[in-house]
This record gives sequence, structure tokens and C-alpha cells, in this order.
Amino acid sequence: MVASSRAQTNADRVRSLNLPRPVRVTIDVRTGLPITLYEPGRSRAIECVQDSWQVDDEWWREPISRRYLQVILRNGVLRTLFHDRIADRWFEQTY
Amino acid sequence: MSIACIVIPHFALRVALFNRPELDGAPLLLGPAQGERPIVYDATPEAAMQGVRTGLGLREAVALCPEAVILTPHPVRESAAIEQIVTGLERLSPAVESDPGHPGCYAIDLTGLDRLLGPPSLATERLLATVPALLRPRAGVAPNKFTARVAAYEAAPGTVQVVDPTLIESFLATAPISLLPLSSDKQRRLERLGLRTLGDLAALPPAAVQARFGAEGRRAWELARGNDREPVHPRLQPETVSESLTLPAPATSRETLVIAITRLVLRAFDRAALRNRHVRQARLHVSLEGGQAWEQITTLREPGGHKHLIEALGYRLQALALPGPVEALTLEISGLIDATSRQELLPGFHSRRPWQLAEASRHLKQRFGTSGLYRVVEVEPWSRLPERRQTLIAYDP
Repeated sequence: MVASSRAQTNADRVRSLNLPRPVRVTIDVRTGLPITLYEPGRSRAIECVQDSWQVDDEWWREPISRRYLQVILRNGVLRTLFHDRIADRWFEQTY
Repeated sequence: MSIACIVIPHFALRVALFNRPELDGAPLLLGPAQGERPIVYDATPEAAMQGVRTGLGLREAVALCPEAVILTPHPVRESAAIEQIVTGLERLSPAVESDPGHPGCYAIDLTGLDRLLGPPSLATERLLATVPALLRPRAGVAPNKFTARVAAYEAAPGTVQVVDPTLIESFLATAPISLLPLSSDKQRRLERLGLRTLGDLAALPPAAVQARFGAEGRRAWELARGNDREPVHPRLQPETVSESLTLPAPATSRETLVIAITRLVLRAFDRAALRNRHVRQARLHVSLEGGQAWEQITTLREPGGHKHLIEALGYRLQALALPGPVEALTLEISGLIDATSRQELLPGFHSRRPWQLAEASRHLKQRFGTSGLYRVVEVEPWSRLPERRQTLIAYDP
């Protein structure tokens, strides 16, 4: 039998890094691509999609299907967004 | 808005007729690909008339229909046929969608094409004429994608069925429930409930359908009532670079294949389109002796240059058991982006005054109960999901 170490368990010892952040976007119905990104208190027009790729993974447990888009906002800022195809929601991915 | 839909039932079998047109009209069965279960994957109506159905063991199928011809899937030939059909349709309309889940099903947005191609029915006839008649294509026209697809399946080969916008619901009511884009499990559950037609499903209360089948069921109910607002999604035109190589003699050894692939990759990266660029995906088509073919897609976790790609393709070949000698290879590289670089941690990048950091951490802990300092630790650096690669662990010197 293993003796209790009486050590305190600290849930705050481990934290996630780079978790995707849910975002709200408007979509161009013809292309399926986002045209506006809404952030608290303001909206940013998306100037163009610079790159896009698909990540499909973990089909053996909870399938993950994401369509990533690297977009340039009208103010020149580069952002990475993805569409979660399973939950049909949009997120911003930080690195 | 008018949407046309062109469908080619039993697509893989019809495409096989390109090489053997004399088999047109004979009972055809689609057999298994290399390593799959020996069952019937598809059967033409001529074979179905003799009792053969999808899922039946090949031995039973041949006993039921001795004159049936068994054909094997040929993914290279099928993707070439899809490309040829879509390219042909795109010459007449810029908005052509190929359904990846249903090879041989194409939706075309006819909006704005009246002056070029005439009214919807005539425009669809002209679109239909671009598809080889040997494939027995048929078409439907309706105000939305799903209804157009149902109309296409109900049309006779080589003809166009136009659905009156005011009669959509009554038109759909008699269509079989198997036309709904549902998983086979949900299809079976609907059939077990005695629902055979779209009209049967549309007559149910939407809340009950949603409660039992979730969001997928609710969407199916909407489709069954003719409500489909999904637009036609034309394909993005990805930039690709393709290189081919015919081997001087059929090769069976892995080493020869690795040499050939290395040559293909280097040749591709010599082209101007790939100068100072990285790639994300490579599709390798392999033509085998005896007319068979094999195809593999390799996706890199991070975009990379030629060394990275050769390494990834070589790694994939390690576990490969080819069904025959290789005659030719084609490498299609896609996902081209500007060359990227990644900042790695500098060697020996540690705090020069660890005791100061430890002291600061101790003070913070005394003042707030926790220091709030964390260290970045790699967890799954190979993961394709950025949030899985690293985590923060409390810094406790």
C-alpha cells in the first residue's frame, strides 16, 4: 500500500498554453470565407486570406476537423483563424 | 436563383468503361481495393436486376449473376475523370461544386448565365453535353441544391428534369429517404421507424425529429421540406506543381522508389514556382505494371522545403507493400507558401541569475500565496494542434 504523501494538489500548477479563443465572424455566403472579425468593442474587416490549410485528426476518439485560415486584417495585422467543422464554430489560434 | 445538378450514378463503374467500353450494358460489380473485404461495393442496375446488392459477399454475387464482370477501384482514373468533368463544366460556369462525399455529383450555380447559356433548362442541357455520354449522366434544375440533386437522380440518363419552384414540396414528397445526406446509421434508424420517403419525414413535427436525431436530423427535415439555403461552393484553385517520371524498367525495390522520388522532388523544387517557397502537401500517384494504380497523400505537419518533403515521403515508403512493380510516378505538390522560418530556443538560453529569480518567486509567494510564474514545457511537440504542443508548469525553483 502506498502511503499518502499528504502533498497538497495544486490544480493551478499546470496551465494550458495557446488555447484557441472563440471569435465571432461574418461569412461571405458565396465563398464561405470570413469577411469581418468581431472583437470586444470593435469589428475588423478582413482584407484577404493569405493561406489556408486543413487539419483532420484523432478520428479514432473525438474527431477534429479544422479549416485554418491565415488572414490579413485591414489594418495590416496577421491573424490565424480556424473553423471547427464538427462544432461549426470559429476560433482564433494563437501560437 | 437556379441551381443545376449533374449526377453520375455508379461513378467508379462507369469510369472503368472508359478503358473497356465494350462492357457497357453488362452487369458490373465494383470489387474491393487492395486489402479490403471481398464484398460488392457497388453494382450496376443490370447486376441489381439479378439480385446482386451492395455489401453482398463476392462469392454469393457471382453465384447470383455468373456473367457479372468484377472491376477494381482505380482512384487515379477516377480523380482524373472528376478533374476532366469539373474542368469541362467550369468552361461554362464559374461556380461548380464537386461533392467529395459523392463522386459523380456536381452542383452548378446558373445565376447570371441566362445571356450566355439561355434559360436554366437549356443551360443545363449544354452543361450535360460536356460530360461523356458513356458515363450516363443525368441532370436536375431547381431553386436549391438538394432539390436539384433529387431531380437529377429521378431523371433518365442524358435528360434534364426541371422542378417548378411552386411544387418543390410535393415533388420531394415521393423521393426515397436514401437521398438525404445522412450517415448510414441514421438512414437505417429512419427506415426502422417506417419512414421511406422524404414526405414521411417532412410530415413529422420538427421538434420530435431534432430530439431523436439531433442537428443532423433537423437539417434532414428542412431538406425534406425543400428548405436548403446552402450555396454552391466553387472549388478554390490551388496552385500545384506536378512532376512525372517513367522508370526505365519496372521497379520493385524500395531503394529505387526513394531515388525516383528524390529526383522528382528536386526537379519540382528547381522550378520557378517553388523557388524560395515551402510546401504543405504532396500527392504521389504510382502506376503499376498491369494497369493498376496506387495513390498516397502526404501532409507535412509544418510547411517545409525539399529536404523535409523527401524525408517525409521516404518515411511513408518504409511501411509500404506495393501490390506490383512500379512503372511510373507522378508527384503533385500543393499548399505552396512563402518559405517560413521558425525561431528555435538558443542553446544555453537560461537565466544568468537564477538566485534572483528564485528570490523574486519566494517574495511573490509570500505576498500573494502563489508566484504566478510559469515555465513553458513541451508536451507533444509533434502535434498538429498548436495548443497541444506546450503547456505552462508553475515555476518552483
